[in-house]
Amino acid sequence: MTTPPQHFKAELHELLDERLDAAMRAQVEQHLATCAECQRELAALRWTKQIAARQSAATADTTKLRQGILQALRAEPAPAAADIVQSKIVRPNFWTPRWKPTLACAAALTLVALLAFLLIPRRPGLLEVIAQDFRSYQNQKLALELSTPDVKEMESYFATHGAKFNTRVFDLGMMNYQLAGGRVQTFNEQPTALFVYRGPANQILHCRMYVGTTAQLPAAAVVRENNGIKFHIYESSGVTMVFWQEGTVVCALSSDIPSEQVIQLAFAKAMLPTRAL
Amino acid sequence: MDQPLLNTSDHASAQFEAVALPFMDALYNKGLFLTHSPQDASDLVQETYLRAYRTFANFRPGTNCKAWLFTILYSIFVNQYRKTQREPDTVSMDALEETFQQTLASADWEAEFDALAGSAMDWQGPEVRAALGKLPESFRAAVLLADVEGLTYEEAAAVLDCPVGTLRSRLFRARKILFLELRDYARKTGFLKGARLT
Repeated sequence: MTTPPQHFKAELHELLDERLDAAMRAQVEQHLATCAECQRELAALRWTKQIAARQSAATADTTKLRQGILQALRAEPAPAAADIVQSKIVRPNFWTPRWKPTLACAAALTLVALLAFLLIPRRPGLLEVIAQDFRSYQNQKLALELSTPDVKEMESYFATHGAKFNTRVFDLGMMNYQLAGGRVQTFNEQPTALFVYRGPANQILHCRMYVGTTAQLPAAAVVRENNGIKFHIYESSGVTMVFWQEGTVVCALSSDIPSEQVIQLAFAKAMLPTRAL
Repeated sequence: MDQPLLNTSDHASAQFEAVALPFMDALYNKGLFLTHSPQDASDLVQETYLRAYRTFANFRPGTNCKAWLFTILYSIFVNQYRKTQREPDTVSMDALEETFQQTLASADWEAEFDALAGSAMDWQGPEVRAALGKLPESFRAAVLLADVEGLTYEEAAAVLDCPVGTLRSRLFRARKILFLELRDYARKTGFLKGARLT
């Protein structure tokens, strides 16, 4: 009398989800090699999971919703920063005479810090600057230093005007985006190459390149990977920004068109450093 | 190039926009699946962002921001938007397993599955939404979080406030129901006509 085969059930799902440890995975794969029943089940589950994953695409134009959310957020008091984790702790009683000098010093220091914060202008971060530059150009408050549809002419301009790193001005003609021109923008006393494209419906797309590393970007951003390249995705003031590394240069596309379109344009133009340089 | 180009003193509002807003489409998508109403989905997403903004100090950088936002969204949905009390999950595991195994054991399985997987359909239209809509709400939520949005079992369980074992059970059953629904749709609409069907 033969023992009926021991089929796997939950393990097939966990194999799909890459949650099995090496030993169990080997056991399941060994069984799968000879079990048509489990092979069928795995194929059906894999196909179903793939179909479900395709539903992540946006179902509607959410531009208005985005604007509404931004308006609502702007009407709110600013939140505490995310890295300040508030926890309940038992505090000693500071209102005793021996703590009074310490408290007085702390209060004075706090006052000084507050005054410094209010009186010393805060230098905006790169994300804010890129978003601000996008809006300034859109509102005709930021002019191009060179207007040209010629990518080579644009690259030569950057090379002779202080951006002496490898600027790779993309040809986005296949995506119906035409180069309008560019300028050298200084940030933190360093040159960055800024060039601008116009889309078929006059959409604006900015590209920024600078010497640096994406490791300098804030943590906890969305990171997606395509063709072995990591893309760091941010939003600020309704502008989507997609950063990636090409050798020693960081590239960033920014626009207020739907986020996924900016991401796909970045996917289309990004190159691995070995090919880019 | 010694000096870091990035000024890390971005204030909290900019930080929130940078890390949270890229998930708006995903939140709206899930809101639509849950409420079945574009207006309710928009309101749900807006309420989610407002609540997330006010409690941004609770978010730990480096953890999954999408999972955190989904937790808030699902909590608001359960408390404010769910029209009726959720019915208990009445899917019989035995009956489901039997139907699923019978389908796989069909003599036409190979041809049928080849036709299904190789069909020209992109499976991104209303047929998948309808199939998802037929799942019990807790099953649908499990699929949306794990398979559509790519959350881990632990993250999805935290969003739904249920044990990981419960999440696994719902997800595994949901996949089988979804498969049967999609196959049924393909049969009814003739997408499997190339296959020799019983």
